[in-house]
Amino acid sequence: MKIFYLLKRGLLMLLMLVALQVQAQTGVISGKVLDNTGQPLPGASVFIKGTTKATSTDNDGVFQISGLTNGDVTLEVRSIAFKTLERVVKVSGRTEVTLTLQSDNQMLDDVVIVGYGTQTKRQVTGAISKVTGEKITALPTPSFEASLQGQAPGVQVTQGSGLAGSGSVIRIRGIGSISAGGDPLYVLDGIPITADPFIGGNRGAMNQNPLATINPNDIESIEILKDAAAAGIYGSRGANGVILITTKRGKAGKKPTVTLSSKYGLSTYANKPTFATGEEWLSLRQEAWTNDGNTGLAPLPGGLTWDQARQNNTDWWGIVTETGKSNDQSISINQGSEKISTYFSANYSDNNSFLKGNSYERYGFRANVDVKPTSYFATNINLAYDNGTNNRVNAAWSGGLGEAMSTALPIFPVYNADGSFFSNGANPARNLGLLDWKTINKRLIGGVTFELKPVKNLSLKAIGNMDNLDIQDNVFSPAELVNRTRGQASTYPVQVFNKTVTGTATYDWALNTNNKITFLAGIETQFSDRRLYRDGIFGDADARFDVDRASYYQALNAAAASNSLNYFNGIGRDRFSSVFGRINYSYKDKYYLQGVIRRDGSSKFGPNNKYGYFPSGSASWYISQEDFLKNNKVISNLKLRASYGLVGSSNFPSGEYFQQFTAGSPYNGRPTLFPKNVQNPDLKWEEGQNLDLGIDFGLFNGRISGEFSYYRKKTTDALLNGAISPSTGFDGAWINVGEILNEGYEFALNTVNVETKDFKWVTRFNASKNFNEVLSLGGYSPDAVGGGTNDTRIAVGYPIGTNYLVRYKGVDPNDGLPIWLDKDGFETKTFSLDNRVPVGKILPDYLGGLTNTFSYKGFELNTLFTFAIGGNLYDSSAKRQLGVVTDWNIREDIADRWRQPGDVARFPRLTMNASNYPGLSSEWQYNSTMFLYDASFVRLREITLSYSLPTKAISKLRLQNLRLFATGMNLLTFTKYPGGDPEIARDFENPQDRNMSPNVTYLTTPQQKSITFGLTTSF
Amino acid sequence: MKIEYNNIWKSFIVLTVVAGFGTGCKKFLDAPPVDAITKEVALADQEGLVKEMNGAYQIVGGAMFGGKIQVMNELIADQLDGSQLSADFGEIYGRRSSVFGAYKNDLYRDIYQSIYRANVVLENLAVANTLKDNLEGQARFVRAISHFEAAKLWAQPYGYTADNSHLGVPLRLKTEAVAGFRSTVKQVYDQIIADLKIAEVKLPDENDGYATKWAAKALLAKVYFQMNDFTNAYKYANEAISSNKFTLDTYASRFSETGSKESIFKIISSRGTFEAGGELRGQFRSDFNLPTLRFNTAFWNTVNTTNDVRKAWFETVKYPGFIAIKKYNSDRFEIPVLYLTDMKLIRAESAAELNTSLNIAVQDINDILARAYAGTKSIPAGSSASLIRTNARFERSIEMAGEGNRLSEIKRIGAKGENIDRRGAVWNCGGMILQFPQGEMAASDIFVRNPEGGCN
Repeated sequence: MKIFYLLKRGLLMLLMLVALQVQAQTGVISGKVLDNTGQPLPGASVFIKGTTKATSTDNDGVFQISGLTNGDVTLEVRSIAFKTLERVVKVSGRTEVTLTLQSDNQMLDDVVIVGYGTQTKRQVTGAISKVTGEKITALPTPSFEASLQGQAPGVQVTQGSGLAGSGSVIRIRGIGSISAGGDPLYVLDGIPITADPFIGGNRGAMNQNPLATINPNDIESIEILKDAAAAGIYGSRGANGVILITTKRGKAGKKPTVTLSSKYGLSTYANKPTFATGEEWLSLRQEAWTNDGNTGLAPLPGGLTWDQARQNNTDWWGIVTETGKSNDQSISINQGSEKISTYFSANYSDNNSFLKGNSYERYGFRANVDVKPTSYFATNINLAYDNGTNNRVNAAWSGGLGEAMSTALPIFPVYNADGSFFSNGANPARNLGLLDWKTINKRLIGGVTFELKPVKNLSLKAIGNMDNLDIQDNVFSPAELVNRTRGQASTYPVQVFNKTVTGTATYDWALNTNNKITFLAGIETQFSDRRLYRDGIFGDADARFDVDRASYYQALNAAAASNSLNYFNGIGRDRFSSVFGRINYSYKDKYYLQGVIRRDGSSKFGPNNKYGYFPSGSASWYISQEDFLKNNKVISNLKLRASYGLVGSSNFPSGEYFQQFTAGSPYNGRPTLFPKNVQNPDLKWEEGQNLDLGIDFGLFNGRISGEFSYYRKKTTDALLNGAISPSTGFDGAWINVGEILNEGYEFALNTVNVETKDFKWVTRFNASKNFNEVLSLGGYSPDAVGGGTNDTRIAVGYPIGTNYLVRYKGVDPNDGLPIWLDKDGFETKTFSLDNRVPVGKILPDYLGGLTNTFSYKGFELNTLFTFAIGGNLYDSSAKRQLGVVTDWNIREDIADRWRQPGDVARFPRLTMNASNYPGLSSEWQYNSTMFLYDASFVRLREITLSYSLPTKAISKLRLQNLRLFATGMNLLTFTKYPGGDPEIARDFENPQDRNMSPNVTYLTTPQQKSITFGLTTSF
Repeated sequence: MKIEYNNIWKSFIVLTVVAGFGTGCKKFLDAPPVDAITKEVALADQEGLVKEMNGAYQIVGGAMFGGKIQVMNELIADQLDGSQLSADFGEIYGRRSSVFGAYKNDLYRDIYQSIYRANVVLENLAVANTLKDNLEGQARFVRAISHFEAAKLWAQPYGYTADNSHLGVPLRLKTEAVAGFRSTVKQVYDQIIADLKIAEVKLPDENDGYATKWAAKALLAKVYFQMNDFTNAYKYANEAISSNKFTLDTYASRFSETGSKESIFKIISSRGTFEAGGELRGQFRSDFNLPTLRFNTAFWNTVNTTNDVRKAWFETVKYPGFIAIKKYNSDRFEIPVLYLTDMKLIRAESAAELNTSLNIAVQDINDILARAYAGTKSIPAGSSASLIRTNARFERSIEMAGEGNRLSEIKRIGAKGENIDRRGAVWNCGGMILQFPQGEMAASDIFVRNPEGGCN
């Protein structure tokens, strides 16, 4: 494989370079860097411009650069939150300087990662939010992306659940896809990485999140690209936004520094619904039975008699949960010399969630190496290996805690009288000891970049990246569990290969001191495919297949013998071939213009639409640099920006454009072939026309700063997978028909409220409002898409994920029967699915976060509140927990029900037969506003108290720093929803479900509430 | 030490060339999935067509007769104890199905998927050579059996209107992806018979586990019997029986891995690759746990007579107060779809209805009785047509319990003017048939759906 060859070559070259001797030169500069209060500034980068010489300051702010030629040199000093300083220094033998940096709360010289390059914050014309690494590691989330919640305006993060390794649903500036994936593109150090939660199949009511393998401790920063100016360079994949993840690197001139981080935590569920006890459940059942006109005792589920049932009051929730424990250890070594900088890290973490038997254990290593042997050549190499082992349990519809909330009744015993497990009804305890289910993700991410500067200001880069993921999902169910004479094992091995090769050329052209132009041109090819056994491998076994290898080979042979192995090498081939360019023009640091274009061709697109062009243009104007504002006492920074462009989204399966025939599992021992889909040669990307207008401002020298943005994203050709007559034999076909509008505002405000020598109070607030509307569905009705596992629909004139329900008026006090509203708003007592209307939406109106940081001497208290206001929550389990009395648990809210004539109540009279509510065919169809709730919530997402030891103390310990901290996550939640946790991203069946049914709960595992203690130190 | 700049340049150029590789190279972007082939390749020759045909059986044997057809029919019929059924099953048992419900809607789509696959074969027969007739016969057989099962579940029975002009189900005779519309019941039955009459001629005597001439005849007998056309039902049942290829077998063998000698058309079970009957085991199996689907006392009382050996088919001890079936209590078994017992009962009842060949009918009944009551029960030679008919119907209801046959009887006999539903509903009330999936109405606003409910 080429990539391996190139990697090997890169490593060899590295070894050669390490051996290079530095040639002796004469001059030396040493000095000290201070901040504006006169304190030494550690960690500042010091460069000699026009050379590769660089270093950084130590704990006392001291630096030294040697090997200089005598004469004038330009020193550049950079440090985060300080203005970059340039100073011309005359070197003559040993020269000493003292440099003072001015603080910069706006951080305009801060480096921002953009697609295929970097810009300073000042140069950025698009909408980009940056989240630093320490924000990502601050919380013990199941996977790093959940830590983005509340950190950036316009970014909605709905954490999956408290399940170990659980993924989140992230939506940037609303949602512009229906059936195709609405997730952003994740790019790690230049490679679009595998992030699809369905890549290893969809089993057990929990999606396997490939992002959970990534070590959050390695993340330097995350940049979120939101508009066409920023994301346009990603062409047909940028429309849902791009999340750029940058890992840590060695810093030039840094002495070898070891950083240790150690955390221990305890967790439990953030919320729990209350259910009827055994005795209560029995009396509710009896009440329903009597209401239905029966006499005697009601029949009981599980084959139990009343006497037997009365003996039990099993706390199933308690049986399947426990106090979760987590620990997270990481170590890294970071150093840099003039020519070689390195970052090496290793980490181990084990997160046992509050569900018994559920954990995510991860370990990994990373090496990032930068080599700069000459002024005209540089290379860097990244290599990371992560191994994540998920011990899985059933959840939601698949059992476990889901059963504890549904069919595991308090009247059911755990054991029969003879000591065997009770098995005539749901018994999640039985699974606990028996089901053995482990998913192992192994991920290798590697990349090499060669950079050449053949002439001044021209940089040529050749980049090769790979992201290989190996997913081994192994399940073993012993004989007892599956009611067979021998146990059964299954495995679904999947290997994902993902490679990108990129070439770019950048040229900086300074026409004169006022006019500067930067050109970027690039070509890129991406290949991604998988190796897998499409139908898995299953068979009799005595343990998991990765343990009981003999049975595994037996199953493999049996499958091979009967032609049903269905092993595919190269399945799901996605190929992109792209050309792109970017021009940045700046005038006097006042006006900035940017033009971007990308052409993408993809194997996903049909022959009639093979290539797409995605141009965008943007501009920014620093009004504060104009003469009339230049020395204004109040306004220290004022920037206007605007962008408009086309961006695409291609989150749909490959090869859908032509009619596929595929081999099925055999029948009668012989091969089968069947048609898989309906062809569409016109299939193409979804296209977004994105407009962004923004103001960035800074007042009182940055004490108050912030931004305000307006955006309007119109998606055309949104993909639908549906809308086909089922008597064709198919459920759906992919067609580009929808039009969707997302329009909104974003606001961020950062204030330094108090700043004294010892005490500082900083507030960061962000909020956004999004308006979403489906403009067109190409003539299809709301039922043409949707259905599936959710009760939401897509209807023209309403937002994506509209709750499409029968309106519930209340209970008739006379007979206790429900009163509904028909389509026209008239009262009716007959339920009918024809009376469903759009009544709510799963998308919130406002969302955001409020961070307050108080620091006093070495102490720091940090709080983060996140909020989502204005959406609806549909409780799909409530229709079973609060509706017709069946073999489900009943929630305590049922207390407010009709019992006798005259009762004014929220819930109708109990019945055991759905048809006693006229017109209702089954309890599953009981979809009404009775179970629609306000989803607004505010939660104390994070509270951290930390203490950093004073410099004197740590010097004695020979450390650079030592920080101790305690963090609470989700300790408080404020919500009107009585049924559990208001933050819901349920188990999803497919990307459409992810778009349409966040905030639709169905036995969803709640979020975790946790306390973590830890320390970090470097030496 | 010297840096090899040539190597750097080489690496650089290699990466750049690879990066540009896809650009402008159209072939690179035509990356068809490796687990699939195009229609042109798939159906290039007879071998491809044979595989496609086998793919149709996979649905017939899996999603359909693997259990869902039987479960669906039993739920609507009158032999189950549905008092504790909820959700989709509660809805269907309650005879009030709606436009939603995945269990029902998936079955509908799957039945039509088998028809789609059969149609692919029929549209591409030109590539077949030696097996052309055989494949045509099989495809028509599959299309017929699928349309027949769909018509029985989603449309009022033959005889509901005098001229059978009432709405049936969509007839799908081509693979085109257009909106569905409902043909009349007469059109549907005419098409089923037309397909089977061609299949009967084109299919061979023996066919290696696939549909044969005799399977087509047996199915014709069932279709005509369902139409209360006793002349034709007798004719085809008689032909199937007279082939002497099938012999009455033990009860234990009916759902066994080794199969039954009675089977005229069966679903084959292959270890590890196609273990037929998963849904039957899932809903009925009773040797480990109390199953979801249980039988009612009224039905059990008909079995619970002194000498009836079929009592052994029922579990009445392990779960006090519940009656479960034991027919499906094994890890693996074949599923007879068309078999001799059924043919004998059709022949006997048809003879009785026609009042001809009564001696043959008496013998058929006595063959069944002898096995059922271990030789302790028989009807006399010269028995009346009415006695033969009573016995045929009574034994059928026990013999085929849990096999999804009872609902067809309620409707067939109902259409003849006699209501036999033990749950007290009228044979042609709305909920006796299933509602169409919402997808049909979403795809075409002129699709006529069934009236719902009306059975309680």
